[in-house]
Amino acid sequence: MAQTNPPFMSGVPELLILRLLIRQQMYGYELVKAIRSSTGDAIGLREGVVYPALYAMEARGTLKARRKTVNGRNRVYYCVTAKGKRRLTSLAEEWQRVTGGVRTALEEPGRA
Amino acid sequence: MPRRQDLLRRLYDAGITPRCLLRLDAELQDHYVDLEREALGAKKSAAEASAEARLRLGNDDAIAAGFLDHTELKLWIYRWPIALYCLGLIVWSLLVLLSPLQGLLRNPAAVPRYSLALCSSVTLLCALAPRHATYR
Repeated sequence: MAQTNPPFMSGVPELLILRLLIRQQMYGYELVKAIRSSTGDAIGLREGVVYPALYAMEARGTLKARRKTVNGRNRVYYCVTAKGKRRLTSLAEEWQRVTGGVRTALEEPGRA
Repeated sequence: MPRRQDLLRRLYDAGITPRCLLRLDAELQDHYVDLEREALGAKKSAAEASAEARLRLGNDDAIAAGFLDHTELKLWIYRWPIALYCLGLIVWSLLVLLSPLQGLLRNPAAVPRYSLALCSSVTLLCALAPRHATYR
């Protein structure tokens, strides 16, 4: 799996994490697997790097973490808060705007 | 997987909260176990599974960089060191310099004892400075 160019990743992990966690709560390993499968392996990252992003989002109040014991293993599950839902809406709109602009530029004749 | 003492110490020295570090330690261990199981499930040998799990989890530099990008994960004394310095200076001035002044004016014999106590408190404060803290 190729590693993704960091400057182009700004805001993307947060958007993906919120998008995936809004469907169901997940723990770290499960979340990374979901990111890989939902993006068709297009987003490559060292999996340990997801934790600082999760903790920062929790500190900002967009995620909430709770411990749960499942199949004898105590894990930290993450879920999206109301503030996280609002943040997801704003990030998704911003992403649509940017990708729309890039698509237009690429489709413009004589540019590509 | 052995605990990542070097990573934890590095993050502690950078001011990441101990609560965060304890959780990171536990979650990285869990994640490593899951990755190793996944590789073993794909019929890889124990050595290959362990190597793959380590590679996928990422090295200390990558994880540390992820933390250092987020100032909200640092202790407030690391986020606003100047504010701490100013606050400390005000409290120290009130407690150590101004409060005993009246008593010292009434009883000059207490000046040597006061000076000794002042030197001890400054020494103690220097010894407790965060740069000397260690991760356990």
